[in-house]
This record gives sequence, structure tokens and C-alpha cells, in this order.
Amino acid sequence: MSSNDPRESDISIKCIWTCGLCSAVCRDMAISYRPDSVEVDKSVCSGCLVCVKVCPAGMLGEETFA
Amino acid sequence: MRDFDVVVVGGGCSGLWAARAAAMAGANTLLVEKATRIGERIVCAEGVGADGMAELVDLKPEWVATTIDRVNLFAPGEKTVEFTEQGCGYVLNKGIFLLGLSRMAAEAGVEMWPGTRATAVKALDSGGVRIDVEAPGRNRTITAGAVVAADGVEASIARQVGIHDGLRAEDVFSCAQYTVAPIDADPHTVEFHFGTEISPGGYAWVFPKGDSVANVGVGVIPGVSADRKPAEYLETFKRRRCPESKILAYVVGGVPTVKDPSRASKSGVFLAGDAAGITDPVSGAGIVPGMESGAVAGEHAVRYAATGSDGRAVEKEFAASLKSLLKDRRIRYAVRKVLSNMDDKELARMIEATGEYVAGGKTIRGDPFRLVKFMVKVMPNTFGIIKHIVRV
Repeated sequence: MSSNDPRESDISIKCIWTCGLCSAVCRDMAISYRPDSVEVDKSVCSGCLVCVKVCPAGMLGEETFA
Repeated sequence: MRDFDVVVVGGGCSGLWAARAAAMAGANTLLVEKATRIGERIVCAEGVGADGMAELVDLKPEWVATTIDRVNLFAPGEKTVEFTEQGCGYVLNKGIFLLGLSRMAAEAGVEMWPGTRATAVKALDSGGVRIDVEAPGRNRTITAGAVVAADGVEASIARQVGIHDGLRAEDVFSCAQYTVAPIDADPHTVEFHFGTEISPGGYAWVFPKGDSVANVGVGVIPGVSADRKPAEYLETFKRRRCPESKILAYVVGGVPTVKDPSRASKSGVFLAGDAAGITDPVSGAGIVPGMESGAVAGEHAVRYAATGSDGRAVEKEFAASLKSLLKDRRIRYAVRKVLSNMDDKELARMIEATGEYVAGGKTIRGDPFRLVKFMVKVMPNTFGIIKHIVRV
């Protein structure tokens, strides 16, 4: 499955940019996105928070993964 | 029987140039772009160097927003170094530029499907590649002899086929940019602002577009930048540099700068541009490296498609071609690492020394060894720099 494929996810974050950077650094391939949201599949997310670290707009926050 | 010899995924400058190169080499070529029109989504500061661009394409006047004749470097503490290099670069009208490249690709014979997303790419045991594409009313599977993945920083295809498993955070400039107007800025001068308060690990920029419009942005290295986001640094920078300007556009994105992007193909999939992490490691500039790597990827994809399933020799030659194209990369990557970790005092010293250096009529453009010699000369911790360059 593509990391770009919309799928059922545990976390959905509203994001109008979907620049792809969070997905690009995710070693777990847990992140996909729709045109206006970032989707995180918690079943494969290791909680490393690299996506939070690189997000330019601050759409992803540590609290999202708590 | 395959549908196309080469399928290119991504309609940015890397993908368009790859598709054109493939079609010019005689391949039946398709380009798919997820945006509904090519040039619709611009996440870019739009600056290019004149030397690199001159080797690729003759710029049409309508592609160019302004010509750059001067560079201003702002050190922490507002000390400024200005140097003049007549016609050293351009700020493009990137949307119009991409439209121009797409016209050139079309003239070369490339078929283009805008509004079409590649959702899955898989190498076939029998040779060739299968691509699932999704478009309103037109979901289908197509086959090709080879694929050029120019799908941007996310590099979804590279990860699907196992070329790499994602970027490291320290190999990314995380960026935010406004397009603003009106702005009090010289229309032929680009500005670079340095300092840990302004843009830790990276720099802030003002790229004029003429008519009192400019791209004003910030790029930081994640991890160097405490807890603040580029969007916050951008807002602070705008307040300092052009508080009265209105925001016409706001974009965010990432610029990948990997150490060795030469392993950029597998099983008939060839990477180009941001998808391969091919940008200038020092400046983050991506248009010229993207087009150069696109052309190389397009040409090798055609050759791979012609060989069937036994294309490993072509992939080795592709890696060698990229290494040749990126011959000074190791050095530039090391320089960027050093720059990213400088404190404000070191940055100020370096910028001051740059002023002294260029005032003597010398240039730091071109030869990468000149850049290293320059860095070693101006930096207080010479041994640390050499050690760092050797290590990377």
C-alpha cells in the first residue's frame, strides 16, 4: 500500500498543506494523507515523534500521539 | 504488451524534464500529475542560479519575475555584506515556467494526465512496472517498461519499491514562506538573513519578484530549532523585515538534502529531484539539480525499458551518472553540516570574512574546493571543520 493512500486511521489531523514532510521522515510508514488531512495509523506508529519535529506549520503536536 | 515505455510520476520541473528527455530519446512516455493543472501547486522560493539554468534551457522572458544582480547577507546583529554579481540568478514565475516546460514536453511527444495520482507502483517479475493510477472516473492500472519517480519530498514510490526507507530529520530543511506585497525591497537583490534567533541551522530569505512583491521565507534544520516551528520563525521574521506588508500566499514544505543520493533506482524505478533528495545541500536550491537529475533519470529509464528485465547494468550506470553529476556533493554536504551548527558569533565572523573575501574580487561560486578553503580560512575552529568534512 502506498504511504499516500487514504485509509482508515486512528488519528486524523486537519492539515491544509499536506506538504508530505511528516510522511517523508516516518520510518514506520504510518502516515498517509488526504487532500485536507494527515492520517496516522497507530497500529504501526512507534511514537518516535520525528513527524512532529519536522512539521513546518506545527499541525502535528506531541499531544496528538499521547 | 505494455501501455507505455516510460511513465513519469510528478509534474514538477524534475518530472517534466525527465519526461521530455525520455520522449526525445524515442520512448512512448506518459506523465501523471496529481494536481489538476501543472504548475498549480508551487511550494518553492523560485530562485535559480544563472549558470546552472543556462546549461539546461533558454529562459523565456515571461518565465522570469526578476533578474538578480546583488546578494545581501545579513549577519546576526544586522551587520550586512553586499556583493554584486550582475545577472547571477533569477527569481522565476514558477507556475508559468512549469507551464512552459510542460509545453516543451508535449512538443517532444509526452502524453500528460493531470489530475491523476499514482497510488501504487510495483515491479513485475516478468519485467517492467505496474502503476495503479487514480483519477475522477479514470481509475486504472497501467504498465510501463520503467518509471521515473519525481513525486517530491515524500518520495512515496521510492519507499514502496524499497529504494530507501525515509529521510532523516537532520537531512531536511523545514520551511515556511509568505508571498507578500507591498514590500520595500530592491527588485534585483536577494537577501539571506542568518542567526539562531531568525532561522536556526538555516536561513531566512527575501526573494523579490518585482512590482513590490517578494517571497519571504524561513528554512530551519529540525532539532537545531529548539521548540519553535518554521511558521513561528517566519512570523517573527516578517514582523522584523516587512511588518506592513500583506500576505498574498502562504506555503510550507520541506527541502531534502541527503548525503549520497546516488542509490536512486531499483527494479526499473528511477528517482529524480526531491524524491531522490537531490538539492544543493548548502542553499537548498532544487530547480536546477532537479532538472539535471530528471534528464539523467529519463534517459536511463528509456534504456532500462529497452533491456526488459535485465536492466541492472543500466541502474549501475545511472548511479555512476548521478555520482558524476553530484561530484562535489560530499563537500557541500559537510559545509552545510558545519554551517547548521554555527553559533551567532561564528556566523557573524563568517559573513564578515565573506565580505572581505569578495571585496578582494574573489568569488566562492563554482569550484567546491574553493568553498572549503574559504570555510577553513574564515572559521575559528579550523580543525573541527576538517574533521567534520572527513567524517561525512
